[in-house]
Amino acid sequence: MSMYNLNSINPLDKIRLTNGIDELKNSFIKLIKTNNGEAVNLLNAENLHFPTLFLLKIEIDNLNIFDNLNLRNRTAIELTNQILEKNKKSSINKYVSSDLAQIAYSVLKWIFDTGFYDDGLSNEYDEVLDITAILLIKIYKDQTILPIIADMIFDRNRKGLFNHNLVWAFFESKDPNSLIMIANRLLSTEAKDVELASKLLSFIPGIEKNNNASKEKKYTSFLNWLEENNPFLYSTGQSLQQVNRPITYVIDLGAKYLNEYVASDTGKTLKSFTYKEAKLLNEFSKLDNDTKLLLANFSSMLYQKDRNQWNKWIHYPIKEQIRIAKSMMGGEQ
Amino acid sequence: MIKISDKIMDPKEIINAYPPDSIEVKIIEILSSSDNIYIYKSLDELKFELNLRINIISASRELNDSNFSFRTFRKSICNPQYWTRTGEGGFLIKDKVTPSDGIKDIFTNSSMYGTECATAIVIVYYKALLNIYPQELFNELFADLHLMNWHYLDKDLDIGYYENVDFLPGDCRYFKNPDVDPLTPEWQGENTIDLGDGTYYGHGLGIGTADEIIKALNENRKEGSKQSAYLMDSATRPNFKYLSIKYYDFIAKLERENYRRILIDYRNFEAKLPKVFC
Repeated sequence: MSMYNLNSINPLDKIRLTNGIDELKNSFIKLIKTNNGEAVNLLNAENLHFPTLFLLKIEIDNLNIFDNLNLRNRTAIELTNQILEKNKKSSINKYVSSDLAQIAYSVLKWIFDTGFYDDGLSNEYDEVLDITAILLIKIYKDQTILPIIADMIFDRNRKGLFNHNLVWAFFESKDPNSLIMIANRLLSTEAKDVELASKLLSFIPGIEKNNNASKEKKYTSFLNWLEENNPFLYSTGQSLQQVNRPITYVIDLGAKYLNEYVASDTGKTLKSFTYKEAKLLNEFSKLDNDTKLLLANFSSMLYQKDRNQWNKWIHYPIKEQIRIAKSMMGGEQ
Repeated sequence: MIKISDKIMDPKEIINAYPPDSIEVKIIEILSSSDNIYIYKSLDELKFELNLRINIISASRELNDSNFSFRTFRKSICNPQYWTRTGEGGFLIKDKVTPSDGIKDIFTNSSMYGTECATAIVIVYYKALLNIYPQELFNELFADLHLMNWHYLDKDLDIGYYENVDFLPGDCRYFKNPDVDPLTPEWQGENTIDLGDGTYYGHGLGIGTADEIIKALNENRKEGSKQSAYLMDSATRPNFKYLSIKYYDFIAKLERENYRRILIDYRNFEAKLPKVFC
């Protein structure tokens, strides 16, 4: 109930929340028969929450009042129907790739913002929320909903409900900073939260499968890893459909070696390389993985500590770079 | 290159045991001509892997020929006599049902089942093992079966994901569809089994060449997308070696028990004989 302001709550939402779904439907049908205008006004009111509209979808159809609805409600019902259609070769693209794109965005945002609290209402309802989240993230690049998606993922996990599409939507944001929202659950008092967070972050050193470190230690490992590698991380697109423990982000070791930031969605460096850098990178690419890791980690560390020393070091021949890195880092990588 | 007990194996030693142009011969040729070294403790271990790969392929064809349908997790279905459908859309074996009966029922009453592609692959793995393992071993190893794509997998399957490896018939290969239509996240990719003849089995798409699988996935892209689906350079496999050890340990145990039983029977028989024969 916390997201509903009782002073400004829509009467239809209030009936749903206090008396249940059946009573909402009965009251709505009664109101349509006695005061059609008032019933439509309540539906079209700004403070209506999506779950109420979703639950009255059949009644709206049966009572033939769809055309009396405002643009928000008409669009929301059309989008919902398209999401739930068995054959999804639908015309949802007419919304997202045309003049209607902005309207579709604001309606999807309304569906999600006023709808997430009732996640779990029904299988179909949850599917609408899943696809809405995917559309907002993948089409509209809206990352403001990520904290809510994270809440929903962990909430569904606790209840044993399907969350793979939400997990996919979350990682499709392709923003390494969003991992913090997962990592925070490493410190949860709920064992199921910790288990899922550990699984989703198991590609990070210190949080691997079968690592028995304390949750505090795992959290610290995550923070250190993110701080050191954030500028060089990019999304792989791996998902739970593909593997049990997806490696959702990897470090571009070449970029880390040259201290060049990469775009986390494409993996491409943000600026083009100079001739010298390209030559260095070419030599770097021929090294074995362990040596690449050694040079990238050493380079990044030196760059943070002493920019002048780094400038000197990066201009040495690569063999000399390796020798210095080995002597300074020892066996540590 | 294949090494058995630290010795490089001449592929001819084993190729003759199989019909020419067979999938087994194809696998041996890939392994023996590779720059990678494939180490087996025994010839039996290698033969077990060949056998399991063949059975993965045959189980894929069997599932493809059945009435097992493609459904998303939200709409998945299973035979409630054998399985409980979980809140996530997975299938959990019922208490009084043996895992072997549960897997067999998916093939017997296939029209009562429907789920996504990755779960189909896991079902294929279990069926392939059921074709090889004695039921007792299968039920002992895979108690509490829970089918839901790559999750809740039995630890004894020990599924691994490998990159930059030689690809072999019986491998699970993933076709990725990076520009999938957001309305159909189930087509973000397709888990398939390499059938060894240039075709792949992917649940929901059927059996087809890589180009055909890619074409089918491309039909589920965002409108106007120009980014094609593609076959990834990765393979998913159960732990053939571990599963082989479990198999031969069990067979050896059975043989020991049989021998003991025969010995006891013989002693009983001997004790009953009239003394004149002793």
